[in-house]
This record gives sequence, structure tokens and C-alpha cells, in this order.
Amino acid sequence: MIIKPADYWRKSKKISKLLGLSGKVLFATNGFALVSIGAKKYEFQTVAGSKLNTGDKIVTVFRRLNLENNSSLVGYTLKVKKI
Amino acid sequence: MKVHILGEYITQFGELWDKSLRDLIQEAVMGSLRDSNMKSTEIEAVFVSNMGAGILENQLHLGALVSSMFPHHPPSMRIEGACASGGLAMIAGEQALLSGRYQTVIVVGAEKMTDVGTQQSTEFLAAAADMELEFGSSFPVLYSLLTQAHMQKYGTTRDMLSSASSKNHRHAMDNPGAQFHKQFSIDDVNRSELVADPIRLLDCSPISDGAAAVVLTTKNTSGPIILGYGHGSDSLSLSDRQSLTSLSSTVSAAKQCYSESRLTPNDIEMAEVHDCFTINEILAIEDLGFFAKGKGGEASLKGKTTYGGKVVINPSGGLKACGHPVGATGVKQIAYLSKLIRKGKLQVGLTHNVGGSGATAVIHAIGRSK
Repeated sequence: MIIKPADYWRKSKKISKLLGLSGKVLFATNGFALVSIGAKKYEFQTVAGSKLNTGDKIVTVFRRLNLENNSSLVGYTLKVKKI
Repeated sequence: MKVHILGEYITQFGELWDKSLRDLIQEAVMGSLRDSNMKSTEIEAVFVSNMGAGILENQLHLGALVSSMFPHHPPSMRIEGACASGGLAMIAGEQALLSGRYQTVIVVGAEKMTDVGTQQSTEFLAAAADMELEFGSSFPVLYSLLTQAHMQKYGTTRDMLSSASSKNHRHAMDNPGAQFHKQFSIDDVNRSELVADPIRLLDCSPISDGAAAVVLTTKNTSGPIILGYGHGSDSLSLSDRQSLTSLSSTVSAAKQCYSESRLTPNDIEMAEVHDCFTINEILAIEDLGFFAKGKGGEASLKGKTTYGGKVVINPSGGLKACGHPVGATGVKQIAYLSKLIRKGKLQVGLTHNVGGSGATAVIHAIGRSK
């Protein structure tokens, strides 16, 4: 999640609750994965350069978005990284 | 009271650089009026299906734009449900007729997608997903996850998926209005470029321009008839779904449609289903009850979904080979089967139109009036 600076401001508490959580990959493809964390499922982008497969253990991390340069706030999002 | 189709028109689908969105809509509207032998002033209301004009054309208020094409400016509205916009617009038109408010309306679906590049059109289409919970996804990615789930649970193979694409391209050879008139073997599909593993290029429906329109009425008793319809919903995001190997929106919509029309899957001779990606055709033919769960891929590979098989799926070539101008597809499905009924080539058919990764499904049963 997170797209616009205003979105980040509104969702910052929700985002911090999802940071640093461990889980497992259910299905993954190019740069995107469906994961289980506890009893719930989530969909996240995967960190750059990673290839995830079903069953891999992951952790949620905070990553800067590769957006076009502008004068607004820098964009960030939650992604998953293989442990 | 039943809804009859007085006339229909489908434009060419494809990369139509010399035609604007307005041109396409105008062509479909005028074509369907001619086909219906109706004057434009006889249309009491207009229902417009479109997903992307606000993003791609910076044009909202499409209902009013299309109403302006009629000298008497009939009441109008635009309906949007991502790729299910056409099916939803049909429901809106039908419900307006069945309420008794109107007796004759027009439903037109249109999309102009090829004025922008691939990246922009991919981003626009991705807006049909949950932009918060599925941020960073695209539709090939989401359908890749559904494909993997089906392959894992049922052993659906690469060849099975490819057989759906190959068959649809073969069907499109008989549809002059289709975007593609080129046949591909199963091997050709298997070898096409990887897009989002395991989805390959020839698993994916194209970016298209096009429009379709139907004139609906409760006045006449002749012409193809809408036997029933169903409308199902599910969570917008995959992560909230109960199942990744079945679209419950389709199952729910099918149940409603079969109940209203008093048909069973065995009564359906031909079906236009929503093959935005080949896995969605496999899911559709299972969820619509044509084949047992997990057996759709095998049925496709064994030729049971083409002429001479159990049920002809996507006689037009489907989204894959006929093309998928998003707002037009659901209306085109109805128009295509209606035309086959008029030509005496079909008695009872079914259309299946899906929005997003299955958050919306609209199903219509259409047949010959007795």
C-alpha cells in the first residue's frame, strides 16, 4: 500500500502494524506475491532482484518506490523479502 | 414480460487508429438502429458501458455525450464495473425495461485503448484491482497467481491452457470483425514470451478499440430473447477470496441465471465467456457447470469446447482473438450470440462477463423466441 503522500499520512499507523512481520509465500510471480501472515492473506510487491517461490519464508520490509522525480514527498511501500 | 433484442451491431475490433471513441460509439449506435429498423427518436433511454474514458480520454459524463448523438436527448447513464461494464450496462437496460418505465432502450459499450502505450494501458487496467491491497500488481500478475493455484490443485497443464488460446484463434478465423485472423498451435502458445510466470503472451487478451450496441425492447415478441441473467460479486482483492480455484461471483451469477431462465448447463449450445487470460476460460467452463471442477483444462485439450464437442466456447474468438475493448466486451458477447440466433445457427446461448480478477460476474442466457 501507499501511493500518495496524503495516503501515507492517513495510513501510517496501519502500515507500521504490518512492518517486520514474518510469513510464507502462497504463490509468487514477477515482482509480486500472495503471502500468508498468521491467519490472514496479503498481497505485496517483492523486493528488487528477488525471486520467490511457494513455501518461501518472508518478512515485510519498507522500501522506497522508484517513482519519477518530482518535488513532492518521497514514496514508500511495504514489500516482502525472503528470509 | 421479457426483454427482446430488436437489433445489434459490433464494430471492427482492433487497433483502429483512424477512429476516435466518439466515432466508435456513433458507428455502433447507428448500426444497431439500422439493424433494428428503428428511428433514433424511438429510443427512450441510453445505457453506456465504458471503463477508461475518464483516464485515457479525460472524458467523463459519457452518458450525456452519447445522449447528445440523439436529436431528442434521451435520459442516459454510464455504467462502470471494469471489464464487466458491458454486462452491467445490459442489466441496467433490462431492469429499466422490466420496471415498465421504458419500452425501448439502447445499450452501447465502447472503449478506445490504443491511443496510449502499453505501460499506460497496463496501469489503467490495473485500476480494476484493489489499488490499496494490491498496489503494484497488474492483471497478468493477478491471473498468474490464479493460474498457479489451479495448476497446483488440479494438475492443469501448460498444454491445457494453450489449447484454449489456440481454439479461440481458430474460431476467430470465421469472425470478420475479430482483431486477429491468425492461427496458433498449442506449441506456438507454449513458446510465446513469458509475461508473468506461468502466463505467456498468447495467454493474454490484447489491448483493443471497439464498440457494440444492442436495441432492447419489451414491445415486440419476435427476435432473440433474454431468457434470464445473473449478477454475482466477490472481494476485489485476491487475498480476501475464499477460493483461488473458483470465481464465486461466476458461480453465484450462474445459479441466478439458470434459475430465472429455467435452463441447465446441458441446455447451452454456445457460450461467450470472459477469457481475458486463458485460465479464466478454464475457470469459467467449470464454474458455469459445463465441466466438473478441475476438469476444464482437460476438456479444452480434448476438443470438448469447440464445434463437435460438448459446448462451443467463444465462437467469436473470445477476448483473446476477437479482442477486448473493455467497455464493449459484455455488449459484444450478447450482440454476437444474438446475430447467430437470427441466422438460425443457435437456439440457446450464454454470455459470461467478468470484472477485475473476478470481483464482478454477469451472466446472460439468450435464446430464440418461440
